[in-house]
Amino acid sequence: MSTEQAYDAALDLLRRLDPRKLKEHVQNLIQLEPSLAEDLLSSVDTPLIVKRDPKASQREYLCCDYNRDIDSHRSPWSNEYFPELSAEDVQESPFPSKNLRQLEILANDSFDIYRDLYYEGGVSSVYLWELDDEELSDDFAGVVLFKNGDKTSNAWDSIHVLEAVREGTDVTYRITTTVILHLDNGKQMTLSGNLSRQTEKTLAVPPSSSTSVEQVHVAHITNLGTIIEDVESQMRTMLESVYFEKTRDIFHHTRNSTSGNEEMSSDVHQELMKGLQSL
Amino acid sequence: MYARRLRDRETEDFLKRVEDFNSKQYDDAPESPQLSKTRYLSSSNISEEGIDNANDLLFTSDSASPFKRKQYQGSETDTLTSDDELAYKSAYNYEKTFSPTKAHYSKRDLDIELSFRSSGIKESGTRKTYAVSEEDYMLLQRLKLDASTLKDTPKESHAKVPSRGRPREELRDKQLYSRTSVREVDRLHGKKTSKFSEEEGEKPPSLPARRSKDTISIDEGSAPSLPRRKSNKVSTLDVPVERSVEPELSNRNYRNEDSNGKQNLTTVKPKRSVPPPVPRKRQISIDKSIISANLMTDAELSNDYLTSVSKNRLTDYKTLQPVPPPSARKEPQTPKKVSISHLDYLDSVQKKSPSPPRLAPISLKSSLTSPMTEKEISNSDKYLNSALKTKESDPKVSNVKPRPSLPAKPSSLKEKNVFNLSNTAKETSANGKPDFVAIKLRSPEKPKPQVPPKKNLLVTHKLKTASHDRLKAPIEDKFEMRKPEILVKLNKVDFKKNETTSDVPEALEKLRKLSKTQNAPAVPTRKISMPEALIKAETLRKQQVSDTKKASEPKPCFQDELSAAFKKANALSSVTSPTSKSVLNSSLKDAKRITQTPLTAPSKNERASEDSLLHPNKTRAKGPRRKLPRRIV
Repeated sequence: MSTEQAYDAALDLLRRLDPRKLKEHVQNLIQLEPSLAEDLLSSVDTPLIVKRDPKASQREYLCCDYNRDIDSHRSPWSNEYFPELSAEDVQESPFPSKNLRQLEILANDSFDIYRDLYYEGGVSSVYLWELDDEELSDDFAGVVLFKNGDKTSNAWDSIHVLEAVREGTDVTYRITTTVILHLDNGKQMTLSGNLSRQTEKTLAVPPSSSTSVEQVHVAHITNLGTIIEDVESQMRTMLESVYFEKTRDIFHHTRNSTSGNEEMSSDVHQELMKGLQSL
Repeated sequence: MYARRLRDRETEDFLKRVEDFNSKQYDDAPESPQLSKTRYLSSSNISEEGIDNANDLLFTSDSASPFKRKQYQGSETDTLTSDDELAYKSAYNYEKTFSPTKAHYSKRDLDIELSFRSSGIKESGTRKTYAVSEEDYMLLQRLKLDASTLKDTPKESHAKVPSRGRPREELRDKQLYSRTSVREVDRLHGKKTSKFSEEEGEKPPSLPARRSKDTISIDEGSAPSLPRRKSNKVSTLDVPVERSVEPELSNRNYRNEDSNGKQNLTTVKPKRSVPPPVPRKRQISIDKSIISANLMTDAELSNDYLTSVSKNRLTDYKTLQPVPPPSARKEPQTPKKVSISHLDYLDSVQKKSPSPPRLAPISLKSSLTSPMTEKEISNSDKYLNSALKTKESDPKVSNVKPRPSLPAKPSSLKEKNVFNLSNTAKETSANGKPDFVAIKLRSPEKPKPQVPPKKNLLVTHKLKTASHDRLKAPIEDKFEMRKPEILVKLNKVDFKKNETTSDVPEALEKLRKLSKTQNAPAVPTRKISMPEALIKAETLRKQQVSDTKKASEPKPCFQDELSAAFKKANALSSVTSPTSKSVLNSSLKDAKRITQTPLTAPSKNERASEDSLLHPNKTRAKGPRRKLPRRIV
């Protein structure tokens, strides 16, 4: 079995397994096939972790695999890894370029406002990195993270992994959005799952040569913001349809199946019919 | 009162100590006359004989000489010395300074005592004998001097006059009157009247103070006119009548002494004989005379009290019955105030009692029935007539008017359509207000059983209209006003159906209904969700594939045989020449092409199914180059 097949198989398994134990399943799969570790960690979205930046007045930031190096996570506020890495590790650890760091700072500020407007709480973080090794290229990739929820397991995690590829004056934005919803109301009922969709959009961005870098950054932020705004609203409606409509289908299915049972008494059948008529 | 008594005991104790001390110093007998007298005074019980003697001395003596003689006559061996005086003064001063101001008094407490003692000593200078007790003598002296100085300085004398204290309290217990009656008088007349009532006591010690007060009060009002008239009265009246007279008259006589000395002798004589207890009725009559005198002119005041009583008995009720105008009342009000202080409470009750019962019912009735004028209040007959008139008039107005209109209108309403609200509204508007009032008044009188037949008539009327014209809108609207909302909705629905039926025959409608019912079972098919449909489709495809596989089962067998042959050939080729290899390869390629074509067909379906499970995260950016974690989550 090739690594690709194993990779696909692992993804299929993770899709079908209990989403509440996603981390355990990933861990087990990596233990089973260590060569898949890098791919699984980068492709499988797990609930986001919140950490505090000690060098930014304990400001919270979100942690995922994209801002991780070894066991530390980079803070978007201080651009440092916490817990602090060794000097050697820091030299090897990834950091965005100056230009991209400026865009990252701007993106963090702007999406923090977005988070405040839409989520009315929670935490947001944006991490960017270069797609190519060449710093001069305008192509970049990044992740926009939002997390809103109380200290219990109830939470909304949205992960937008974006790629911006310039083709002349236009930039193609490909955004892969994953929403992890977890609702746990004690022992009565738990509802959790994730939904991933990929959207691609090409928008005009003036080249950096003709305009200032700041204007380019603002253009990128505006484009990304509008796309993410649309995607999130769509994802929300999709979640409603997926989660709640699916549960409704299950509910109706169970009721219809009971109505078809021959062993059921006629009284119960009449009651069900009355219930259907009332609907 | 209890505290005062305690204080008195203390002072008495103190005085006793002083006396004991004096007795020890001078080896005198403990029961010396002077000490006994002081004790006697401390108990504040004065003998009647002493008071009589004092009265004799007071009213007969014009000069100090007879007093002196009597003093010497009635004196015992007085052992007063300068040391005694000092001890006595010290005791007195102590009491005066440390004891609180007393409403009651004893003769020791008076300023008079010291002054007279000193003056008496100066006059005598030697041992003196007293016919009367020393204190009585001094009191009499004091009163005499006060009487002489009244004209000059009335205020000072008034200030020095003692107020009644302990002896009166003792007298109260002996009095026939209850304390409640005295309190009632206090309420009506104030402090002066209460004191005046206390003066009714039979014991003489209360007399001198009463005189002094009465003189002061009456002098203010009508002092100059009295002496002339009294001279006439004394001549006309008999002596026993005067004996029965209360000491108040003697007070007046005493007051007249200052002006006319001769007349005083006639008045004082009957008082030597102990006055019998005066009946209350007479007292009351005297008080009434005082009031009437105040109400009357100054000329009438000069009359004797008996004449005044006789007049007052006639005049009191005469004067009170017709209410004088306010202007006439105002003038005698000022003397009234003076006289009211002297009134006994019984007098006040008698004179005031007739007035309130007359005024009170008028005020009450007027407030209840209707506001009355002052003229009507004065005439009770008019008031009663008016009250009767008002009582009669009110119910007639309320009851008579509505009744005649009642019987006529219900009949008219029965004939008309009661349920057509528009018509009734028009009727009411046309008739105006009186009709509306009449309807209101009829409603309680109407017998209830009359209503149901009306309803029956209306129901029949409904059906008739409905049969003729099915879709008359105005009739429906009228019924909608009364029917509940549900019924209205049902009617609306029925009309819509009727509209549809009117155009289309009934058979077609039934067909349509049947068609709808036939289409109804298709609804549950909608409930089937898309994934289920896809699953079913997949299952169907798999079934088809399995069928095709089953159908093509001999082919793989053939291929297997071929493959096995090719394998053998390959194995041989490794050993055999390359030319043969090339031939074999070409043959194998052809074989593969052949074999792949049938195999690839199901694989495409499988890919299609796999495409549905494609993971978008798989193609997304994988992030910067980074090291793996040491421990995976």
